[in-house]
Amino acid sequence: MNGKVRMLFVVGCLVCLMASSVTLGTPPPVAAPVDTSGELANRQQVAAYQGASNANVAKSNAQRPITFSLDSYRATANHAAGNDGSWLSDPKPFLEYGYGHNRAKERNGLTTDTHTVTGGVICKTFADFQTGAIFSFIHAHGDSAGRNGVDYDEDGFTATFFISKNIQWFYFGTSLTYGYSGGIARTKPAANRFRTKIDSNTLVVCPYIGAIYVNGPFSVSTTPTYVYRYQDVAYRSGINPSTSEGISDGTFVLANRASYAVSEKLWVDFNFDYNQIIHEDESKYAQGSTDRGWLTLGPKFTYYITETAQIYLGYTATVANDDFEDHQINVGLDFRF
Amino acid sequence: MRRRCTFFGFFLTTVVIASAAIQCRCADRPFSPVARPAISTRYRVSFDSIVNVGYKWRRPMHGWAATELIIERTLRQWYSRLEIRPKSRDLPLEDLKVALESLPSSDQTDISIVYLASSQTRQGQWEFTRGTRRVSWPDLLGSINIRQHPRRIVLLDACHASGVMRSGLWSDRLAPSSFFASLEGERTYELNFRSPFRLDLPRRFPKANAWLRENMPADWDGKTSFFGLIWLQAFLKTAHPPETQDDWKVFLRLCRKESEDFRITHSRRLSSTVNGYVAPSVK
Repeated sequence: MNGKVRMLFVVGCLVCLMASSVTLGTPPPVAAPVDTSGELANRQQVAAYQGASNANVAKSNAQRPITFSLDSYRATANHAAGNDGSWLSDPKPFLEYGYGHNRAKERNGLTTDTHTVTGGVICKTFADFQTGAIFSFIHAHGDSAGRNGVDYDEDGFTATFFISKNIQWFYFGTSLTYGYSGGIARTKPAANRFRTKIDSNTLVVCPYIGAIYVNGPFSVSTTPTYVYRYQDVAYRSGINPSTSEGISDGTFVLANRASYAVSEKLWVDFNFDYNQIIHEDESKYAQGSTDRGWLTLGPKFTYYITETAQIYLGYTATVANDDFEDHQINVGLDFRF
Repeated sequence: MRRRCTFFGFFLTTVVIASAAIQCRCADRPFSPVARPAISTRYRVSFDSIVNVGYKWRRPMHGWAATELIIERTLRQWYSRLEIRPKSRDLPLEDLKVALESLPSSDQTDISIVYLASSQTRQGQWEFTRGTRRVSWPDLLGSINIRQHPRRIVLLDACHASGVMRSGLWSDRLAPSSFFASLEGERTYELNFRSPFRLDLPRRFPKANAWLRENMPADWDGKTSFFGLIWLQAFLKTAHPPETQDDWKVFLRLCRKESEDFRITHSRRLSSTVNGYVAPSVK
């Protein structure tokens, strides 16, 4: 690239930057640079990877016990039984399929489709605590357009263990999630195809405390939650020496839910979560978030097929996020024995 | 984003308005007037109740407090010479002993009805809301002296209720006749007349709903124990108040049948088996 072209590129970038700042009033999306080296391609792949990895599934699973706590309030009938002293009782298995569509908002940003199969079991344990384990298997495929487009495939799993307790009108709990994923990111131009193998180990801790108010068929709840994530990512490519880095972030989530029992068999929930990144390590390779606060919201319909089996359909959209847009659809089956 | 929010708002509003309209239609449906049963003037009847409600570490048992009121008001409609004795709520161990020791004797009343409601363990231990955590019935009954009454009927509304019969002390010292809300291995649940979720009780039990609307206080939250509903259903199907031991046997059979019908027709999960025994007639 000669000096004139470089100058034009810089001026173009500045114009784009000013225009986007004026129209959106937000930090500018990063313009995709022209691919000149393997290092650049590698960085872009990594950036793409960081935008949609199984860490998101790990985070989402880490917050699932909040739903279980709420369900045990609104959907479990009160009874007059003391604690039986058994370690595990009242098992409630569930199975869920989730489809997620994530699109980075930057120009030629990565579009990712994620398929997740989640299964788990929730039990009562000593002193009326609730405990359980959740396992997810994930396959993700990402794609980005443009001259430096990348695509990547990723397979992984997460395992979550949690413990929670309901005390009258409030509840608390914590979960610990471990996730592993392995993926390959590739640059698109066939002539200059760089591959990077990416392995990640993720650890998420999610303590929460919340309150619920139930009045007849209505219930509302709010749950302040802190989600801490530590992720160790290792990159291996043919061009660059293998590297790894450990990055962590902490997000405050105010998870709110309003529920209404439409009939004997149908529940409607509306989830409205506010997410705020409190702290975030700077990655050596990937861009961090420019937007530190956003909303996730959506309805969930639960239908009781029988007294012991229920199906649900949930939809969640991420809105007011300048970095990405995200849509999730979950279909699941719950049992209570 | 605005379009999406508008869509969600519109959708939710539609769902809420539609379901509210359905519920209003159900609520406004004219209910059949509740027929008043005949009133017994012959016997002196007393009603004692000991109920644990305010547990610190679990949900409060408001439904069982409502059942206490349901039983009290049905008895009031049955017997003109009914004495409602002071209600005991959330008693610690020592006070429970005193309350049991002060149950009326046969000199004071012809029929003594005692309603006991509490959280109870599978081992048949009564759980307190304060003080001592729990006590087993044999230990409790072995340490106190209860006045005998051959026509005392104890209604034990708790989980694993008939487990108390493992010890002979229950029938020998406290309860010549008993109604149990559940079998030894069963739990008994709370029901809610104000929420359609799981069971739309006003629609399924219109007569009971009509009676409750007429007789329960305005601030009642709609909750009752399963036993409360079964007792009320049996009450509404009983034309004459039980006076003799045989009448109580018939009433117990009716309660049991109602609980079985509930299990078959309405909910297996929320039902328990009402059972018990009635002492032979006293000559």
